[in-house]
Amino acid sequence: MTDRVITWRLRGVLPIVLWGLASAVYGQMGVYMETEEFLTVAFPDSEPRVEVIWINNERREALEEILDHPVNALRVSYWISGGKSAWILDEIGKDRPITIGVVAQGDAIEMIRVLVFREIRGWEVRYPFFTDQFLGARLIGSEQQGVGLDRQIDGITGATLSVNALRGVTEVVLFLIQESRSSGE
Amino acid sequence: MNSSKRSRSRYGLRHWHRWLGLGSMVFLIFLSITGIALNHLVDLRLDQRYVRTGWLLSWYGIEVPPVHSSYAVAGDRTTLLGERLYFNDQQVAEGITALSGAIAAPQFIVIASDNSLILLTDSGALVERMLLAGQLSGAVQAIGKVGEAVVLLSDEEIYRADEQLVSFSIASDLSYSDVSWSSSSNAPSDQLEALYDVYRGTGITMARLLADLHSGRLFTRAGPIFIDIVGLLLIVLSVLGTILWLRGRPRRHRTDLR
Repeated sequence: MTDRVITWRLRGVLPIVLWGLASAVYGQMGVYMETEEFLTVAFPDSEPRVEVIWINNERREALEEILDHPVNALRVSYWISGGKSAWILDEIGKDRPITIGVVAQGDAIEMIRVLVFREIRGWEVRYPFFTDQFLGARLIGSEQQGVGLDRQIDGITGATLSVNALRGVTEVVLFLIQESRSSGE
Repeated sequence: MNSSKRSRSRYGLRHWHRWLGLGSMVFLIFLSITGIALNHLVDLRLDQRYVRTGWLLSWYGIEVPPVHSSYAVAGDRTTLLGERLYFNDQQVAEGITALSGAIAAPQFIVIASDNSLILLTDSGALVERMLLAGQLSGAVQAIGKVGEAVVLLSDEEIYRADEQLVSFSIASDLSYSDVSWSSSSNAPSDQLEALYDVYRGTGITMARLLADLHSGRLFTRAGPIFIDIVGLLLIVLSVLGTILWLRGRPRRHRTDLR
């Protein structure tokens, strides 16, 4: 085979390879689960009602400590039925918000799903090998001393910011559950 | 090698070393400054500052998407630009694909997207982005008011919100004409220009610009190759400098032999 033939063949293959690489990266961005589907999975046998928790100054300070950035929202709504609650929160990974759905049974995590991923890197956090680490996780510590999960969450190389976003949202949800129970909201 | 040949060779090396050194000096200073700045990104808050220079943003290909829709609300204006929602010139939400209207309710300013309500205080501070999943039969088509009550139109049904804007129920006592619906209007050109500036101004951080300058990526595909060549030049300079230094050392052992 002459060099010229090889060159022409490469010219034909190269765009396909580049397209494949591009779609492998950008193909990971998008909606993985619609909100309605998430709620159906979270509450298969019941119709949840919507409740809200207001973010006062003390709660804001605690949330800002967990997330390590300013928190603007004044209230957060969630779905609840029996002892189970479902929360959908946005948290910035690197540049763009990741929409994360968390379900808790009582004060322990029952399910966590990445619903919408808008970043170019870090999409691996949506896979069960990562999210399963959160199952059963509870909050430890106090508002004064700082709160955290009762377990170590192993990170993913190259997805540190997305990992932090999921860990942060999980802690926020457990903290808000704790607050809503203590205040009776 | 006799002494005149050695002298010519040394002169040649010195000549190249001098000109290569002078030639790469500018780039070395440039790479050092950008490198130091990159090393202190967080301290200098460069990851939170944005490029606002028009030609630089155009160079990056940052163009403003068309306005999806815009609504006047209580003397203010909310506009959906691409997937970013603005209240006047302040971004209040991202990832919004459609806007259905905006009204001023007693407690909040309420902006309706197709699947959520964005609640703001009178001053435009975000209260909440509230997802409406499970509360309506479909996407929000319109938002309006009956007296002080907020109502939504979804799938040809009218829903009334409770006072706290937490839950919604079908308002069978209302007809379409009973409601004062929010309707879109064109944003004034000066507000639109200001919005375009804001949109473009949050596209590229100073950190990204510096990283692209340092690596040469800012200067198209040839940039990184050029920076590679500068790097190679510095290696050549180091080697030449070492050779010249070794050759220029006094030959003490010869003196001793004499």
